[in-house]
Amino acid sequence: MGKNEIKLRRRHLNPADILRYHDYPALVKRHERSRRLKRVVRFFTFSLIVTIIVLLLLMIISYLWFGVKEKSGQIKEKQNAITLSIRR
Amino acid sequence: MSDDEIRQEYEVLDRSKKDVKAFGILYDKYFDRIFRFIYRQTDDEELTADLCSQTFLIALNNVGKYEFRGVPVSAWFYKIAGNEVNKYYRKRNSAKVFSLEEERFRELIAWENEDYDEERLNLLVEYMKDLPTDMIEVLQLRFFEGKEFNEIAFILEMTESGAKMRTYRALDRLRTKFSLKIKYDGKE
Repeated sequence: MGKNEIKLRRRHLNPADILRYHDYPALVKRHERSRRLKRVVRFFTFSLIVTIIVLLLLMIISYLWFGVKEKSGQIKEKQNAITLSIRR
Repeated sequence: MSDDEIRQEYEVLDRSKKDVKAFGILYDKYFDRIFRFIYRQTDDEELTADLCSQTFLIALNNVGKYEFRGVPVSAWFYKIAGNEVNKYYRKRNSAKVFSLEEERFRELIAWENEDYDEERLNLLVEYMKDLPTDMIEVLQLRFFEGKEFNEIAFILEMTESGAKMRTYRALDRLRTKFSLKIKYDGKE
């Protein structure tokens, strides 16, 4: 068998046969549906991206917040130890 | 098609970015041609109807992205249609079918010394089956769809000289193997 199949046909496509499939209103309907779907998908993608960004920001802020708190705690402890040793 | 006509069609397409009804003018004008083009590559009416409708849907969905390149709008439809047909065959992983009108085929070729010979015609068809698909595509666009080389280049995403080269190479192969004369544009 060759790479392609080539057929020689005697039958011509009748314009009336083709006209059966000619349906512009149906095409417009499909177009509207796909536009709506595209809009919904775009909205969800956008919301997902925004959610991910907000979550990342929250994680960074909380990490920084607790990090600062921990550090200030350590500093306080050090200061307390120093004052104790001085009193002694 | 004159430059003015190409421009006018482009204006219609441009209008359809805002008004879907305007696209209907192009749909009505080219549905028939695109249907026949796809049918020549499928030999199946129902499948052709699906692919044809998909072609126009893709075109309508992407009207906003269309850029004017000096070729008729129809070339864009042919390009989408060709891509849809190729996608279909890739999915099925089967040999591509070319269903060509025998009458047109007879019009195009003439044996150098003899009259029309059924047996040699069958041999020619058998030989053509082994031609690379892109060569048959070029021949189909040139001789069955009557496309200019710049349109063929646009449809197949190649240069105009590349399209010419591929066509002449394909013709040379057929000529040397079968001592054929290919008639087109009123010449031989």
